[in-house]
Amino acid sequence: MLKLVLLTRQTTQRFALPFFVVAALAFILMSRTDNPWVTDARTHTLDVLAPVIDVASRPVSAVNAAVDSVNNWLAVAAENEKLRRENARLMHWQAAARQLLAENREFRGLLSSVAEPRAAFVTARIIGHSSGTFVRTAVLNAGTGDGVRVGQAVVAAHGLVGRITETARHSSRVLLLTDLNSRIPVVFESDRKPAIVSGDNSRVLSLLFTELAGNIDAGERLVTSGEGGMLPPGIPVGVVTGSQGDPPRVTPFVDPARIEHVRILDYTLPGLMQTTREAGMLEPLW
Amino acid sequence: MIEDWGGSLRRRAVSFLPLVSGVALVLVTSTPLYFGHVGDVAPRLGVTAVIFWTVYRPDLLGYGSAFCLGIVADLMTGLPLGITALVLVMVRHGVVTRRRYFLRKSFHIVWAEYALVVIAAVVIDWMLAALYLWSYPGLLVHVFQVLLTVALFPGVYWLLARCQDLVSLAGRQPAGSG
Repeated sequence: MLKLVLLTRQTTQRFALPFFVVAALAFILMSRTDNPWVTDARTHTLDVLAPVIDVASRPVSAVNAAVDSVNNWLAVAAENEKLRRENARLMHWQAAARQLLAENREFRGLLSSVAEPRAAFVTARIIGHSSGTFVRTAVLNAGTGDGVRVGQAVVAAHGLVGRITETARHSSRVLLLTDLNSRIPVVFESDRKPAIVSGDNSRVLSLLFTELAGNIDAGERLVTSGEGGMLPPGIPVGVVTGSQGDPPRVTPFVDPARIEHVRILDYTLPGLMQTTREAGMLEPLW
Repeated sequence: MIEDWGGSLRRRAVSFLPLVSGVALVLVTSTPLYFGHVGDVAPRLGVTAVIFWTVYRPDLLGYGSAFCLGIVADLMTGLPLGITALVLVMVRHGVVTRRRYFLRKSFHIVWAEYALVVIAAVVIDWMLAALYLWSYPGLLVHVFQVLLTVALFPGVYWLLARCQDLVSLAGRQPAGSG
């Protein structure tokens, strides 16, 4: 009996390494082929572990916040001066925006134009990040139970953060703009020329399918075009950076590592999809 | 009889401590730290857990546990399923065959050897990424990941050593001693 147990143990030990290597490779292959079983497993795990991730993230968030506040204290004088100048400039823009808003409302009334559908939103906290070579995602503490659906836009105060790719009951995963699989239809704010911004797992984005290739000035702002009907038009995405001659790169307005709360927009074009929620309606954000 | 059963249950529960401590470390790293222009970098504390337990209690963290820890990490972080599992299984194999280089050595030597294993793990991860994505992934994030993981080693080692004390204590207590 003892001999049999020893023999079984030795055989298990001998074949454990090749067995688990083959199993891992099989899982990788299943992930590569987008097997629905993998998606389901991920969703269920997210639901179970989201409360634990939420608790685990708080001390690290507190450390990040403490480091931020020390940096803020060190730069308080320079920051104050910068904000004063920015405030003066923004007061001027506020006056111009009010005037344009009134004009716009009047023209819309005259033309009987169709109003943009308004977006409902859910506010959620970022409880986890994935960094590294493979993916750039974040985990939110709101899910299908809160009205979150796959494809919805996630925004912060300064612009677009990404899109929802996985939803569990009380949590969801956002594919960040910088992820290799992210593709967002945009337009140049100045002349409305269309393009696609794509991530490559670095901190900046690439610009694809633009008619202006080779003739793009640094500092040009990009906003969502609204093409496809899932993202509201006009959400700030990023600004063109880099020198002349190099392929244009786009720096996103939002750095997800520096924000804690986001809004998930429930934007649906009338007739395209059935609106599920009417609560929390707000005026167009941008 | 009931006391025997209680002691046995306690020892069995404590034997899961290596896997539980590994999952806890992976959970902590799901919120990466922010490093200015480098971006968000998360340490590979799952690798730390596998190295520690493979060196000091390989009987409690076998290939199956390393594989499960990797699968949990992949599910939590949104990585392609199997990537971390493969890295941790390879790390376990690399360490278990070279345990004697870690045992009965000064802390600084263990730290240096640990750094070499972390570098090897990150290189494997980088190569898997290159194959999976069929592109050349940037190196800077990986370099910072190695530096951060190695820098955090003393603190994590201390925590895991306390867990090991608990495991040893449960193993020494005779069944039924409360």
